[in-house]
Amino acid sequence: MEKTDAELIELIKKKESEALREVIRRHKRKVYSIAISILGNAAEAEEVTQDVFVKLWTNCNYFDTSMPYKLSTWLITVCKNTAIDRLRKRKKIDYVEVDAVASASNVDVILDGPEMRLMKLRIASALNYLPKEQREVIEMVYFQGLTQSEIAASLNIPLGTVKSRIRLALTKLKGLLSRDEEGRAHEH
Amino acid sequence: MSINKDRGLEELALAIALDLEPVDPPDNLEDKILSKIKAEEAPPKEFILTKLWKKKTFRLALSTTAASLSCVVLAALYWSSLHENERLKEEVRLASSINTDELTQTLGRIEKVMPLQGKEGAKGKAFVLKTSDKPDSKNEPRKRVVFVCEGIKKKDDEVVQVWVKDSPKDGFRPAGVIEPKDGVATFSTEVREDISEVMITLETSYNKSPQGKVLLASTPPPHPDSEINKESEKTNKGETDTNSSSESKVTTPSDDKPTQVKENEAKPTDGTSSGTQENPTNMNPVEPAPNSSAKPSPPDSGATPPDGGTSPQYQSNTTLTE
Repeated sequence: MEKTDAELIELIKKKESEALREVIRRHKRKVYSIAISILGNAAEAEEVTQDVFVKLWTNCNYFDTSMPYKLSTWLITVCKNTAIDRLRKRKKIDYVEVDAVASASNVDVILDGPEMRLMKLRIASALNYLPKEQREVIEMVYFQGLTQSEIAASLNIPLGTVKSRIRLALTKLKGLLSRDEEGRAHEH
Repeated sequence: MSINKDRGLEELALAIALDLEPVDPPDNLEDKILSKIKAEEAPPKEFILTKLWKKKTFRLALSTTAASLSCVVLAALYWSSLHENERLKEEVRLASSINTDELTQTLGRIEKVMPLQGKEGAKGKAFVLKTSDKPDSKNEPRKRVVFVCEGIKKKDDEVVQVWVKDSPKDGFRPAGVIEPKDGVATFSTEVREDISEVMITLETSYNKSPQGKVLLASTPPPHPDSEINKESEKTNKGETDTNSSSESKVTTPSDDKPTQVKENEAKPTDGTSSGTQENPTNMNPVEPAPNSSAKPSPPDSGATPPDGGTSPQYQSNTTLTE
């Protein structure tokens, strides 16, 4: 049976590198995506991603698995802070980056908020309203953990098509969730 | 809901909230991160000596080695100084007492030993050595006189001069200058024939004739005239003092007076016979005074030759082992 993040953290505290490898495998895309969304630079995003997991390895003893916050929250917070530090070193923050930082600052609220469980249920429900080809790529990306290249190869479609399907799916999901939230507001 | 689906939904929620499109991370990111961790956890490269220094055994071994080396160096220095001391002692011993056996073997046969009498602790001997068996046809020096003296005291501005009288009829001629060290000096000069008397005086400067205080002097041989006079005294039973007017008035150190040489007997001779010092520690060859023009008189002539007496037999050699 697959180990939980908390179990992996306990193994990392014992300096078992394979546990860290598993954690990286699980969370690297999330961390990398946030880093690249803030920094806009693949090389720097990779460095930040590496730093995040190195910090996890180094500071794992300070990670309290009994606390309610999750490993994802910790990783994304550290990634956000590390990326912002990088931006400060550049001494030049353009509008897009400021916007990215502002968005990233809400990560912990999103992940650890009380509505997260409800949010997940709503997303799971909204997925059923997506066209089949869009839902298929979303599930392959987020549930099966495949890369976009692997999806393209698996479905025998161009990589650009995979990206556009993912983009369209996310946009549609966001719209569905907004509408659902408006409907809830009207009901109240 | 499975763990994967739960994690996927979470990531999807995050992507929707932050407008994040999924981006594929670089390949082998896990390996890169693990390598980075391994590199950071590796102990910093230390200088090998620093690393070794942290080991107690190394420090102990190094200290022991250093102490041992110090002991060896100190022992070597001590041995060297001891050896140097022995060498200096040997030099002093050789300077103060020349081994006559060695001289006999190496320089020739000792023909005569002339004790030198002096005052104030000064004493010495003059050895007359035969250095060559060749006939005297070429007027080459065949003998050497070696002076060994001790207890000679002089000031820096004073000169210790050696004088040689070739025959009782001749006057003293300068044979050279000696430079005693700690009162000890050796000196040698070559002569063609035997010598009659020797004398060492303390001069205020280099002189052509002895004028200063007599430090050492050989016992003058009985003058033939004096023997005759003594016999005549015995026969005549009278007291005559004919020798006192004709003899050299060179006083022995017991007189404690400067040497007085009669003008007709002790004509100043040249000081070109610079002696040779065998022991470098207490003898410096001194050049004669530039204004000295008198030349040594041939021993057989009994008087200074008019041409200055440039006979080679009075040119001192610089080695004893000729």
